[in-house]
Amino acid sequence: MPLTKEELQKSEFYQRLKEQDRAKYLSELEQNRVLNDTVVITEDDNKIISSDAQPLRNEAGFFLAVEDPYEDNTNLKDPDQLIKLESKTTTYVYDPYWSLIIDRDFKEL
Amino acid sequence: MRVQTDLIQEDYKQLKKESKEVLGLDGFLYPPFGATQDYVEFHIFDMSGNFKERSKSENYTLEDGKIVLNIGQDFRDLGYNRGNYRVRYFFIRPNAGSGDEIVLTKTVDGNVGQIHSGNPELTGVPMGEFHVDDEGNAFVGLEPPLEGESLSLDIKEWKYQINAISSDRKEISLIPQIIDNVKYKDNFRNLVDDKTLYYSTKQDIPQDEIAEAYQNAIQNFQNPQEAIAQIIADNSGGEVSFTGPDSTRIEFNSRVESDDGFDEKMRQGKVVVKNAYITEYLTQPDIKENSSYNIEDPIPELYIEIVKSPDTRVVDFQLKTKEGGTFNPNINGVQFYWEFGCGHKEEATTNSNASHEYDVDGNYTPSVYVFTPNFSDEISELRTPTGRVVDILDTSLAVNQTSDDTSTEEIDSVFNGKIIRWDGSTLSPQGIPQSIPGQQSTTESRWYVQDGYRRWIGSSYNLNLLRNLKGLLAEDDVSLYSILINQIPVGPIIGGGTFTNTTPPSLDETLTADSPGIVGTLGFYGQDDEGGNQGESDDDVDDDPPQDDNDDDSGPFTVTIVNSPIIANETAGSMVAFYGDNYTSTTDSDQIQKPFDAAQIVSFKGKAMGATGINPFMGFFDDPDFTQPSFTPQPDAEDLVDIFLNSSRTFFVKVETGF
Repeated sequence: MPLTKEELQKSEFYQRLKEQDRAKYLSELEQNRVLNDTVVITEDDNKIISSDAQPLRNEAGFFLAVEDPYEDNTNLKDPDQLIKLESKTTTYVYDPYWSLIIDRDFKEL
Repeated sequence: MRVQTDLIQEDYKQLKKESKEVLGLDGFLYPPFGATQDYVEFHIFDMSGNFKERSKSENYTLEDGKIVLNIGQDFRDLGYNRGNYRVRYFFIRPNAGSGDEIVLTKTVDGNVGQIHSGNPELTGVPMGEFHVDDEGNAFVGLEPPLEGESLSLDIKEWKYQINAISSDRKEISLIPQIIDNVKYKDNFRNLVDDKTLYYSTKQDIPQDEIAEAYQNAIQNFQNPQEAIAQIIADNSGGEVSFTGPDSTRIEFNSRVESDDGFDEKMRQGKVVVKNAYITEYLTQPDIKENSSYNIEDPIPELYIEIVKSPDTRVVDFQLKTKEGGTFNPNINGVQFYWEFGCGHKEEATTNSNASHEYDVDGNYTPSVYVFTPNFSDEISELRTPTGRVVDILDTSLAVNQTSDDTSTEEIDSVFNGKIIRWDGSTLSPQGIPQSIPGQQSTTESRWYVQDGYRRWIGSSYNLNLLRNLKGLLAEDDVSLYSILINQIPVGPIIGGGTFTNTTPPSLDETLTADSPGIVGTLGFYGQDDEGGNQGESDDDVDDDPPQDDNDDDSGPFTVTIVNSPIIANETAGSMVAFYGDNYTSTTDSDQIQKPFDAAQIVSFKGKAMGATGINPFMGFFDDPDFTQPSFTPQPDAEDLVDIFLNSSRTFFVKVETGF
């Protein structure tokens, strides 16, 4: 017999199943973070995410965006979930070299 | 993460700077990314690279010089909660147009594209009231229009249209829409304009003045932005100056404190000072003055010298000046038209000589017309090579005579190399001989006989010089009576230039009938109107010496030369000197004088005081008002003039002021 969302939320079975999935999800996340050396163990044995942690990636190198297990459609905001780009970037020389090297004349228009 | 570039690898290597930098710290990219108009856009692709969606990111932050992206949240905001994707981020600063802004335009008095409503920050025009119906049509006013009212508005994006795309999709052509708005057009124009205008503010502009201008513009249906811009322009700008003679630093001479001056965006740019090296404009005519141009002189007094070929009727004609020189300008501007008196003529020519063979013997009156650009004259005076004036040309003589006029041989004379003088006798039939044509001789007159011609020695100075050079003593002078003197043809005068050969012939030159200055034989003084050429030797005249002792020699006289007076804006001072003397200037003395014992040639000269070329020397005049020139033409400055004088005379020098 199908359940409404409200009935489902009240279902003990569903809640237990959901908690198991969340625990598994968090466990996998923790394993990935351990593999990425982003987890730091404090003196009181708490595990926190290093502030200078590198973005979380899988074995293939793809960035992993992790949803907050407690809030739908919200991504985690931990440091390893953020991509930090240096404002410094490659720059180029301009005149007179710019026009000497690159053909900047219009060809067709 | 790899920074994407459109440069090919080779160009990238050449143009890339060694170190990375923050874009926009100064220069045209200023400020760095993060300004209010900047935004981040990301494109989502599937793992095969197919484009799926794009969106502006709302989840980035700027921290400690870094741009922090929350890629996962960007995806989830678009509903991507599971799966593998590729993503590309763009950091964008709009240059012109806006993808999110729209304006409502209308037609006013036939002018389409007038802004009715839109973001005032973009348009510079206050928003107007409008109504949008259920179908998305916009109208003027807050209520739907009544039936028959035409208050519709066009909805246009604040963008520029892509007019064309090149086939390689690397080049596009943009055109503006029909939106009649200054800021819209300026933004479009600035896409390719690399200049930034900055006006220094000379003085603070009262805000009430701006407000008043704004209100006036609204009331007069004018663009208030333009009115405000005019006020700003009127109170802006000013002089700039370099901070030193060799400095490249400039500063504004007047700028209020509220004017921040150049901003970071202008750094590394160029300041162009227009017309910095222009101090004035001169109008340069496209013609050049001909420095060699001279005002044409009138045709001088000329005569025709006739030379008859022996035993023929051929006569050669040569146009000569009264000084005996050949007149031959030999330019196209001067033409001669010969008429030989027999009915024959010669076509106009630039030659001042002609030759003609007469058909029959007879008396003819040849003539020549001289045409110059500004003058013309008919010359009909005929002279023989010895200078004798003839009224007509008798061609029969040309056939029968062996004329001595055409002789080029010197005359063998027993008086050659000697100085002769007149004995002073005027016992009839004798008279007073002439020194030169028109000039009576005295017993003090002396001639030097050279190749059979008697050359009058014009001054005592020249006489003494000649005696010294030739070793001729005064007691050796040969005294002759008038008739004998008249039988000796007159040659050129011996002046100062004879010794320096500036006025040839010299004393060592062979004189012939063709030599310059040959006059020929003369009659007694006063025997004819002209005073010469009518006293040629008379076969009936007794060659015996006359016994009369009359002496018509002139007495002593004084020559006065008055210096040019110094009169402001009229005349300037002069310097004058007699031959052999030093100059005397106006400031030294207003005049110089010199006594002479008897008639003779007097030589003197003059010039302007001061530097050469400033005050022009005008010459000598007979009157203090400078109306009667003493010489025609006048001598140049410092040129010695020779004039025969037998009585006192005064010359007035004129120097015009050059200022």
